[in-house]
Amino acid sequence: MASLTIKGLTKKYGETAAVENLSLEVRDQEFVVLVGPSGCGKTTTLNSIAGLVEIDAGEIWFGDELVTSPEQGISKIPQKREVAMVFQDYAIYPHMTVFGNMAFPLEIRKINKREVEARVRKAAQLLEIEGLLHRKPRALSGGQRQRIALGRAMVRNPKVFLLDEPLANLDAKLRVRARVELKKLQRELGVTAIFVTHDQIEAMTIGDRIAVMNDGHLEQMGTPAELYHKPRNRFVAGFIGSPPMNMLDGRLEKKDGVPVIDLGLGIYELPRKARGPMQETTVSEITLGIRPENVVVTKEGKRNALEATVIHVELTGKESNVHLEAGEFPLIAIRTSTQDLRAGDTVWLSFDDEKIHVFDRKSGKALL
Amino acid sequence: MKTPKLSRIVLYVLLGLFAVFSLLPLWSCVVTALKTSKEVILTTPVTPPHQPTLVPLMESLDYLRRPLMNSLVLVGSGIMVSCFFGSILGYVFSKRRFRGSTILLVLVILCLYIPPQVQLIPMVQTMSKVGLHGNLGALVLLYMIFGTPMCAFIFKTLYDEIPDSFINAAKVDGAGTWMIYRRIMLPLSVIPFVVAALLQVTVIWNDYIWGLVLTVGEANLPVTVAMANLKGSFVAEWNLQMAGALWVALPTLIIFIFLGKYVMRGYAGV
Amino acid sequence: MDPKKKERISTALITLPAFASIFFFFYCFSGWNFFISLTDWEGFVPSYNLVGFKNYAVLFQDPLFWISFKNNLLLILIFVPGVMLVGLILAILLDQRVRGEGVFRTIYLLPFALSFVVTAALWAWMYSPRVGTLNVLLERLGLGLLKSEWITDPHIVMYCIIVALIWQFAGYSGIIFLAGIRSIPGSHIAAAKVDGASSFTIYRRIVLPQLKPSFTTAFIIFMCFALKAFDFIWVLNRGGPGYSSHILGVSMYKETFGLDRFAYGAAYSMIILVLSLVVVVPFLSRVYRRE
Repeated sequence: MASLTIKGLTKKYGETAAVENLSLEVRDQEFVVLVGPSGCGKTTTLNSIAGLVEIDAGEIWFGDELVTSPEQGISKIPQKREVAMVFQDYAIYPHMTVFGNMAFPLEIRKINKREVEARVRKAAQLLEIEGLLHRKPRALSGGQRQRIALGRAMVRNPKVFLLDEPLANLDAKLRVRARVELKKLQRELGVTAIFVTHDQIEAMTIGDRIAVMNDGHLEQMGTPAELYHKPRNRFVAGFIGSPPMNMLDGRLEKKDGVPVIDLGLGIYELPRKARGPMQETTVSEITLGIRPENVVVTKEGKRNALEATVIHVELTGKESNVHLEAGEFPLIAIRTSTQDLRAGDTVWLSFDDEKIHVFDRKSGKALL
Repeated sequence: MKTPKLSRIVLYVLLGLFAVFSLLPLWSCVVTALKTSKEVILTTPVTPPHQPTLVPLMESLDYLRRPLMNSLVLVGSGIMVSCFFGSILGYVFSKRRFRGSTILLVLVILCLYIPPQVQLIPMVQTMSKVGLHGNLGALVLLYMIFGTPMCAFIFKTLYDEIPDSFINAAKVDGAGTWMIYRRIMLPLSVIPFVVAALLQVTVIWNDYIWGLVLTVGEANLPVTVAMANLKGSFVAEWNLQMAGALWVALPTLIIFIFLGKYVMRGYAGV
Repeated sequence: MDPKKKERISTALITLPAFASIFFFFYCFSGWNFFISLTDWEGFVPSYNLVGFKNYAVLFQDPLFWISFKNNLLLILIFVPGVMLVGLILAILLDQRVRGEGVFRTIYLLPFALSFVVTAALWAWMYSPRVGTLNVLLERLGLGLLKSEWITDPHIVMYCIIVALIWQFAGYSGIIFLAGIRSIPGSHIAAAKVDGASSFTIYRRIVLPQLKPSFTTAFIIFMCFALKAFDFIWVLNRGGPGYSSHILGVSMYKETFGLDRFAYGAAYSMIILVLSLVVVVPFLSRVYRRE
């Protein structure tokens, strides 16, 4: 069973906490992505799992085995943890051949030469780098080195793969291909994988479940769909999705006994379904969130619509990103036809009632 | 980690032992330099003096006063020209490549490895011919020239770290080679100058063989030569010798203690 | 005039004094010295009668030359590997996240700050048989058996010199290797740990092989020093007792400035030059051939 459990992980550097009270679970053979902006603690978490850094508090379990617990004085050294890791710069040893690099972890375990050769060849075959086995890494490309790093991790038949931004140094086209191949590989090998990235698109496309981190905390963990459609707070809502969700600050008020949102430049009536929960809350400073693809742009005014000006239209292929300004709010809407829109036009924006989000402005929590 | 692991204890013991080894001769020197002749005989060379005295230091200073001045003059004049030339050569090698510049660079660096022995006789002859033999002028000239290859290398290495885009931007703005040098490279040259100067100070102050060969007469000796003579003539007066050695050692020791970081950039580059 | 050409000329003019003086003082002098070694110049008045390689023939039959050469060999075979090994060990020790690393580094470097004449004075005191630090301490620690005549004993004087020279250069050697160790990316060490390698294996198979450049640098520096050394031995005991600690640099000086045999001394120095070039030239050409 290659499952992983983290309870209350805390790691401080001096006074600042890189990671604070983090708890999450990774299931056997699951592909989990840790994602968040720089400095959110994702790499620290990964290094803690590998045993490369000592933590200050919390527990880390590999299946039934407790491998780290500062309170109980347990800290298994990385050498014994039976995890495989791929680093952002690949850490390919320049003085060994490709074969030497991939054989290294097996040689340490004193596995006999024939078995080593067999395993390295098999991994090389799978990664399509057999022809490079006798070359020195110096002249090889980023993509090739990345596969060597994967190969070195694979030959040990580990249960858990740790990957620290392994695609960050590849150029854009290669990155997309590598993502797909990596996921395929993980499924074929049946290993549990924990993948760190700062790129939310990467996270969404490759993860079975995603853990969004910010400032040392876990904001939300769930499937891509859950995070996209049901973000639990403003940070996750704004972080996941590109172009990002539109955020409009406003006040929750009662008009004729019915909760509405006063956006300054207009009153937005909440859909019937939302009225119940909004009735009960005591919060009044809120933020209304709506994703660009759920903003409908019309040239004529509609009921419950906001007036806005078109600033710029970006053609991205089959769609366009329309940049708008409504009062002091910048907004982005996605449209499939833009023949009729020009910068400077006045338009009306209405929101898909099923898809609005409301956040408490102070705490960031989702109220709807 | 409540109790330190055995390996950490062994580590610090080893480090400590080597520190003792490094400091022992110096400690012995300091301690002896502060003792009266009687105490030198009566106490071990490592015990501090019961009645410390400044007499040996003062006496040796008397003897070394002129040589110390001489060495100061040598250091001061030697660094200026070699640092200046070194900066220019370093700039040309780093930013103004031309056909054959690599060969020239190799030839300049090779100078660092040419043993002084092959230069001794020709140098004496040359200095005699220009009438500088025997006095400080010969050494001044020598240090100026000899320091240039090392300074050139230091400047080249540190100039290499300045991005070429700085130079290119200036070129596009219309600046010529020497305008670029004056307005961009020179202002960024504080660290290389410090490193090169400190290195030169150390090398010139510590030099012995050239002082020995090119100066004649007590008034002209640099401090290293004078101190070596002190060792020769007052054989049994250890406190005096140690005091003399201390005077010679002090300036470079102070530089290494407080500015060691910069000196090492100079040496590590070579 | 075309501005580019003007620039090239001004560059040439500005750098000319530096290049010319370097060329003169190093390369012309070497050639001149070679020329002198082919003459019969003895005494104060220079004499430029060419006598071919006679001086070298005499040199190779001169027992003093062979004593000096043998002593240089001792330096090359014991001092060079010795100081590199000590430096490597110090570097590995200092790489262990030591508290107060900066203090230790500074202490180890202090001997390197000293002029050779100071080092000679210090170790003359250390090695003095009657009242010197070593013998007195050995006596006091009850290890009187280990007392020795040190540098006054012709059989072990070279070894005493080697120890003192290692003392002088160990810190510098350590710095060279420490810089090399620190230039290895941290991810290499982390990757090896995760792959299961013990600290020992990491040093042996990941760190050491990548220290080749440091080894080469240190080797060149210490080899060249071993060949041209003069200051320390001359001030310590003038190459004595007798001739037992003469090295090529010492013998050359004695012949030239002691006995006024200038041509002969020039031959000595050419030998030293050739040996130094044999060490340095392959290294330099490999480093700069790539450009």
